[in-house]
Amino acid sequence: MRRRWLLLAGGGVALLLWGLARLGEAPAELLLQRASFSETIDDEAAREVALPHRWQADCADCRTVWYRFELPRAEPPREAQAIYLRGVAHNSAVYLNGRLLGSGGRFSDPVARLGARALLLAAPVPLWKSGPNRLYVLVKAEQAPLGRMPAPALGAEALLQPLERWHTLLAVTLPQVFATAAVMLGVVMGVLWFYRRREADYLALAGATALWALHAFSAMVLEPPWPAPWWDAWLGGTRALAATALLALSLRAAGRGTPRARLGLAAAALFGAALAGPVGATAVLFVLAAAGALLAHAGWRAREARRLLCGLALLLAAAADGLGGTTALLPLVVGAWFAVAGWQQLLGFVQTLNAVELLNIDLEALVQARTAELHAQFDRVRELERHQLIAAERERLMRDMHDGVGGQLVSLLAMIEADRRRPGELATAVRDALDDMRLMVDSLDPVDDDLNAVLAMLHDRLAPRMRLAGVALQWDVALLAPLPGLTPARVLHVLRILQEAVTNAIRHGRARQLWFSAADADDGATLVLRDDGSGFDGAAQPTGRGLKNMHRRAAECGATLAVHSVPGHGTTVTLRLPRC
Amino acid sequence: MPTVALLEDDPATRERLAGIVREAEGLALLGAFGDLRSAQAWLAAHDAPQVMLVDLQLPDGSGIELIRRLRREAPQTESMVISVFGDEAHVVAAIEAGATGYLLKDAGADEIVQAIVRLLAGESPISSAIARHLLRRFQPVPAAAPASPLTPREREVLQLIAKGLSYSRIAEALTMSPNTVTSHIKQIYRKLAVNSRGEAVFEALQLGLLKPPAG
Repeated sequence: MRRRWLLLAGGGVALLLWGLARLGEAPAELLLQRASFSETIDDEAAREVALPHRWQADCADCRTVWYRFELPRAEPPREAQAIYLRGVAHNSAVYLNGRLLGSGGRFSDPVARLGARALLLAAPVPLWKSGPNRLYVLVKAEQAPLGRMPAPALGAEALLQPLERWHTLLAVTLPQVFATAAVMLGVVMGVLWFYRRREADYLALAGATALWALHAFSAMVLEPPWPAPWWDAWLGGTRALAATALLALSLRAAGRGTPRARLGLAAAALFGAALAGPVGATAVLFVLAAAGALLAHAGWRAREARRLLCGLALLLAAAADGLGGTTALLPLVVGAWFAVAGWQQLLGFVQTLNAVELLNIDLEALVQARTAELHAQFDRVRELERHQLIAAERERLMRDMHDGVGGQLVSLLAMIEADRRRPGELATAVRDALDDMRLMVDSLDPVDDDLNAVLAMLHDRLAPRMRLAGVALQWDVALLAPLPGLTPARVLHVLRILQEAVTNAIRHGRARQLWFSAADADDGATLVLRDDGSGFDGAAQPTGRGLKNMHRRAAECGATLAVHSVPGHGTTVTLRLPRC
Repeated sequence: MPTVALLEDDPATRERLAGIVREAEGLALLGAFGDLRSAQAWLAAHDAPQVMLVDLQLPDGSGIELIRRLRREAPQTESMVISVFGDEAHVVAAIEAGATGYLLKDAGADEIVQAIVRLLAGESPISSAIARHLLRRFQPVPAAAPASPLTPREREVLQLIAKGLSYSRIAEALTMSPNTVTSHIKQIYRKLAVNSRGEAVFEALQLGLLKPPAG
């Protein structure tokens, strides 16, 4: 906030306090500013004094004194009159022409204490006489040094009554209201602290508020319940503690000093404020003024209205009361101060709650956004994987086509171009190409790790060819256990190896009979193809492209291939297929 | 003499198949057609043949339409799908439309003649891949789903075919005669055609074998 506004607001606070202090004040022309003062009624030694009057100098040991006012009247007043007394220490009774108008309370010890209360006593018309009228004010103090008699106001009751009401509102009702509010907020703070032990601020404020409320309510008590010394000690003690707590809170709010330094300062303040009598009272004023100055300064530096105004109000009220204003402003201002501090703390708590709630909403949105992002990312990854799978599959098919159908079509083309007119060879080449493609198609069929299904497909493909070639096929396949890891790629390798073995047996070995068997083995399955063909020299290096391809495929699918052949005694191909 | 007609759009293949049937003893070829329209027109004007060989992918539609029409109008006619691969996607769709057998396009002459004769004798060819596909298709679904149309016996037969057992081995394993095995298979085919007419249309559409009706 701009400094200019802060200055304006500060001026506003000062003006407000000044106005408040003036609200219950009687017009000067109604004040009776001189009286004759004596120790006993109508004492010969009575003497003129100016009011307000502290009688210690005139009568060092008197606890009870009399003030006499001579009020000559040409004729009785036409309207009802009243006496208005503010700031009497401690209690008084008022008589007009020998008749008691009223008193503040008990006169026996411990004497009643009017304190901040004003006394408005009606002086009805019939009591007045034409000629001399005598008004007596009896004042009793707890101790002679504390005795004080203000200038009473005498005037029409209708004029003085509103003033008294204003005064009561400011000096009695509002401080009580603030003290009540402070107590309630203090209770709330205490509860908050109970559930959040780490938040020492709550406890400090709750404690200070409790001390202040104790003092404020005690100070309102008209007739002390305990003997005067105890009661004074109680009042002074609670006041000193509350003022010290307020100073400590202000130090903290102003952000001054280390915790240790604050503690030390507060202890010193407590020591001064707890002193009995006027010294202690003055010390309290200084403590509160210091607290106010600290706060106001911190608010000014941080350009923050709340601290500046709270501090300023405290400082000004302490100053005004110290200078001896008729209406004590401190009870009002300190009460308000605690109410504001409590309210602020509560507001902070609520704001924290709100912030947490907002944070939760933000977090939720954040989580949702993250989830959506993750989903999108997951989709992208899946799409990528799909692409990779397709690419891998394509590569596999391409390689297979290159080895199989492609090569066969090329040789077919060569035959056609050479026009060698060997229809049998052409037909064989074409059928081989078709068989190759069918195996590829078969390999893509989901077999669910069922090797029987794979072999059944092979049998379906081989049987017509064998019939055509006039070769007998003995098919001896047991019901096999599932063989995990039968991917399309693996299936195709197995089909191709067996197809190649059959082709070799028929074309090169001129076999007339084939025996195929499949059985479970320890670590998978064993497939054996035996023929009665011419065989070849097994010791020689396999030079044919077919055999090489078979070995390559076996290696690629993790199988072991054994080809055993003796010239003239056929060939046995054994394929061991492990589980994956 | 058993009569045979043929619907195949590739001229060379059509000629080859026509020649094989024409030259076979005991078979009479009534006609060989290159597109769906001419085959339909001929059927409208003549008695249906005993065996109809049908290719699925035709320039003016799917052979499935013809199979379905024969099943409706000439139930005594046996339809056979002509397929390059004999893969279940083509063959099963045709079986569901009412076909009772399939032929590979490059099969030898003897094989083709024998397949036709066997079909007329009540035998339906079936491969292990097709058996597996049928099993998957008619998998008993727990609760709420309509019961599988297949009897437990028929399921057993299909399972053994899928495992690659020969008819005689199946007959042995299930203690029945080989003839009973073939009649079971025929029965399965019939059930398929009855049970999944709507589904078959859907499937055929899915496979792109059928064009959706115009409008």
